[in-house]
Amino acid sequence: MLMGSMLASMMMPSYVPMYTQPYTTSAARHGELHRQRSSYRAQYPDRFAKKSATGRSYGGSSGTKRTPPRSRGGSRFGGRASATPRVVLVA
Amino acid sequence: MTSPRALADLPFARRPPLELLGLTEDRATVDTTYAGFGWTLVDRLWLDAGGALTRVDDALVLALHAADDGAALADDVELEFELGEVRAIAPLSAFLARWLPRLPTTSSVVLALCNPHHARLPAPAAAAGRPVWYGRGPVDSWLDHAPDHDRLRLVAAAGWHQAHTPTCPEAP
Repeated sequence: MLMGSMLASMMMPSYVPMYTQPYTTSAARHGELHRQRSSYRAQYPDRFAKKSATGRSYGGSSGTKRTPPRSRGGSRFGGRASATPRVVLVA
Repeated sequence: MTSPRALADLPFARRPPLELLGLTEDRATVDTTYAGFGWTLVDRLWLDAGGALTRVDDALVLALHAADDGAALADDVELEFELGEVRAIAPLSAFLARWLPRLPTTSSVVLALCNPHHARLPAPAAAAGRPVWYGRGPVDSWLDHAPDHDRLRLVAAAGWHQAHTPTCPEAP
């Protein structure tokens, strides 16, 4: 009954919606929310390091760390089998 | 560009150590297609004989390449230099005789060079008594990362040796 009345009034030319301005989060409130969430995550890090049944981590601090390689591979000082013409250098 | 016909004409130039030894890119394996050559000076590097490390200070490092299809010589190595359209070939002994006197004098000389036929190299006269280190078998370069410094390491799994003088047996 009430729903039907509301829908009927929306069709009337004199209908004015209750909220005319779209809602947006203010910059101040945005910063406050960000701080709150960061603080909460820092306080409970375990809750944000999800693990699957196989033990693999998804997200959280344990899943985002990347240790650099211990050694970097360089080069081999041998020749390559090639069909490039050879020139013998004289002393 | 005309290719050189004599050893003295080779574009054998000084290069930064990491660049010369093919260590500027981050990779976990060795690049077996590298063809760069030249020389550099290092304060310290390590010779790795399959785990046994030897420290060498104040070294002149010569980066060279053994010819893949080179002759099996008992006391020499056939070198190969990729020069665009041609491969220049020369014996190591002749190369050292020509080039060592032109390069800076350091406490020791290290050859970054594969030695596929395990040649036993005599000490070149141009080294003037300085130790000349060379490996046997394949020789690869590595850079080890440590918290306080990086370490240059040349690996010859079949061992590192000092070139011997005719009157002295080869040092192990």
